[in-house]
Amino acid sequence: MDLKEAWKKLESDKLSKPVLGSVHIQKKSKHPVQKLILLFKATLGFAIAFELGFIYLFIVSPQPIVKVFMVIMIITYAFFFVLNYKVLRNIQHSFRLDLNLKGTLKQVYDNTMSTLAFQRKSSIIIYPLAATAGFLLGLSIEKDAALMMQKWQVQVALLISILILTPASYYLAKWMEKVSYGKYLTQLRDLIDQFDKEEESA
Amino acid sequence: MAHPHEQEFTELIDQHRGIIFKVIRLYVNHEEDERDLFQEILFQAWRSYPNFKGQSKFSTWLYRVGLNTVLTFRRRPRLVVPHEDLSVLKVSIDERVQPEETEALYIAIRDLNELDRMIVTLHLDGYENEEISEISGLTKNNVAVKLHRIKETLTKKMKAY
Repeated sequence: MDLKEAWKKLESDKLSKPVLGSVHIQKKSKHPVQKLILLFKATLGFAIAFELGFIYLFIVSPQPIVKVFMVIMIITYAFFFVLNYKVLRNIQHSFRLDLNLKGTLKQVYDNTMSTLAFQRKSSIIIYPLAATAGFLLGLSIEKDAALMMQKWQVQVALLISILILTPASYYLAKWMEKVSYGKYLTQLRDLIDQFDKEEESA
Repeated sequence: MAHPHEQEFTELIDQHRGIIFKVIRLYVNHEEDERDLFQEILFQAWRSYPNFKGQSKFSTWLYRVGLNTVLTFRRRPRLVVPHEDLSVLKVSIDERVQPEETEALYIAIRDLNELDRMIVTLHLDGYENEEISEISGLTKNNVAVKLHRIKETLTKKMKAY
């Protein structure tokens, strides 16, 4: 019996055995790319929540210096919201399992990786701004923040806060990125590597 | 409210559900994972269905979605146990009972890596190298070379059985 004959017999004997389950379309998926899509959606949700918080603080804070930093944070978060939204749309559009698998996975992987890398790099500028905004907000609760900032002790305290909070936030964000996105990205990378290895070996 | 194309899609899946069973049987051997994968393939097919314009047969399209889903689906570690089946085979050989050629082919295919399994099953189902290349993302030459090697391996293994 040749391969094709054996295959035909195998198909009818074994492979056609039904699998339990009804033809009912569920709205949930356990697919790694679908999980990445969910994570991007969650990021957008958080961005909206933070944006609303900053807008609220902008409205209630009477001090101009605090308002200025709130505007900076609002613009920054709006920028990251748009960036993440575009990546999400791109992934949703390119992730199709009825197309070339390697190309699809590579596109999703590269898109996610470059966005995360960009966010990581920009955070080095954003965290000091966020730390300053928080610091000024704290000062403004009881005193005039602009006036307080003229004292050298307060300036040193702000500098120390920035020096501590920036790397701490950077590594925390990197760790969170690894925990949330890491396993799915590793799985995609492994699969792409497998395709590449197969191509090299042939 | 149901989606306007949901019934049409469900009917098509009902007619071609054998393709999904085949894909699942080739890659999974645990009941819970079979159910999960069945639902996942349905989900992915439904998600991609608006892009199905009928350039290929629905069965071909569904086969592609099924294989691509199974290759990227996060399965539990217990599923990656193709050698478990081989131990059954060794027992058969030891007992000088010749296993069926179809069973031998099944075991030999399950023993291949997932990508090779995809390539050979598409070939055995009558797909041209160009189509296999399109589905997998490997080059046409690569598919041809790999296919040659895989077929040799399978034939050797089947003869040995």
